[in-house]
Amino acid sequence: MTNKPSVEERARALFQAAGPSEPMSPEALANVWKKTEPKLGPSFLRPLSKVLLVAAAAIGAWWFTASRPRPLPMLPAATAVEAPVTGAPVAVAKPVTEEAAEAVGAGPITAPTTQPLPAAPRIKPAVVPPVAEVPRSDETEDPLLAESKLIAHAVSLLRVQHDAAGALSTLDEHAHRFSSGVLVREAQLVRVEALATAGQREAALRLLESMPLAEMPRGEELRVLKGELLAETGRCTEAVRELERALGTTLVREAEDRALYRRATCLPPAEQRAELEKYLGRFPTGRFADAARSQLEP
Amino acid sequence: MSPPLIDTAALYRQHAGEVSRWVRSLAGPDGEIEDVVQEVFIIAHRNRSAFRGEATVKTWLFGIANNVVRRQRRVQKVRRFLGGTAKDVAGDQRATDALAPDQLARRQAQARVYRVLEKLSDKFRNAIILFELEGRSAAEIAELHGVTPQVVWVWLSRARTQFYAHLEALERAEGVV
Repeated sequence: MTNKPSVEERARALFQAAGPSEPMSPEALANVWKKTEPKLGPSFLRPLSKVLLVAAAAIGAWWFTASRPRPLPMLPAATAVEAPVTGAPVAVAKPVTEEAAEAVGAGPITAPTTQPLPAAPRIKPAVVPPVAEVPRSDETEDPLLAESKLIAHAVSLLRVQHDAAGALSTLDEHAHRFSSGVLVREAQLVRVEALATAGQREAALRLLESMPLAEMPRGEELRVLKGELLAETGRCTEAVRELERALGTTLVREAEDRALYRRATCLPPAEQRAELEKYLGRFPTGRFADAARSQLEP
Repeated sequence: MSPPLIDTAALYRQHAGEVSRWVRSLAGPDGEIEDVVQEVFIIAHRNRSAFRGEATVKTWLFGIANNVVRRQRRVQKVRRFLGGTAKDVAGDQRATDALAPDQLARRQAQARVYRVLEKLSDKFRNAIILFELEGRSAAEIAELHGVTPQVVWVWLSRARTQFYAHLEALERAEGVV
């Protein structure tokens, strides 16, 4: 019979297996210096360098996220609200599981529609998450912390209190205080959802049209939303183009469901029937399956 | 008379390798190392007139690196919450180069260690990383943080206790124990 190793021994084995980190190679360091040296310019250029550095890091991150392969809601619900910095009262940090997001009804990027749609299944939340307190302005506060608090508050208002107007007001404050903030794009994502939820669908569409979707996280899901909003405003040709572009990528199933159906309904009547049948073939129990069947009835 | 300004190019030549190793270890597997190393030296260059030699250059650079990494981790956390980070995505992608089994095991162990370390405060997290993973002595860690070795031993003791508790919690959640 073997004795189970103690937690100290298990931790020790884990540390040994993880091992020390390697320094960057001389070549990689030389490349970093090539990029760094031009930024060590005269003092008047320093603030610009900082902005460019942050922007480069941000763009890199967003570029990677453009082809996210797994379905996640655009904005997770505030169930797992946790301060990103020790002691912060409201800001957000914890990756939220799909289950947790679903449990409070946090869906994928979806335009609240003006026409009746088949209801998506919703799971009633077991616990109502706490609403973040209104973040107080503090001159000495770290800008990133202040930014994240404001955005977390907007998310909380939108998803917990269903107060889209309040969320938009908070996002306006963010835009006013942090026009060059690190989290400007994240704030835009929240604003799109808040505008759509508040019924300001044309404003949501205008904002989406100003965004470089290919560089955004969940860009193709945003493109589906853009297609839906275009379709609502009667711009079917553009809607079909956007939806087809999104469908040409690897969409999460929920977004594909929406895109296929919306595209079908935007096509000329002669093509619509075949596309609705195609939709039903792909999603026989999909979100719009009943609507598609009723449209196919003579 | 104020001391001469530090030559940033010489500083980079002398310390960039070590800074990159600190950054890699403090940031963990999800860190964007090159951006952070670059930012460390930009900040060092910008603040070089404030460096008066009271601390060692290592302590000064480590302080900058620690702050930049902490900031990067916070940005990543916020981004992860709001919409996914680069590593969230890249983590799901098939690697272009197949990893050898020992490399894979190492990465898995690193991911596990850093997952547990996320539960610790920055101070305790750093102590575990530098002592247990990097093999630094208490004296070295003390120098980097500008504290005495006795303080480091206290940090390590408390950090280990917390690490063990969180590791056991993780194992229970995974059904390992």
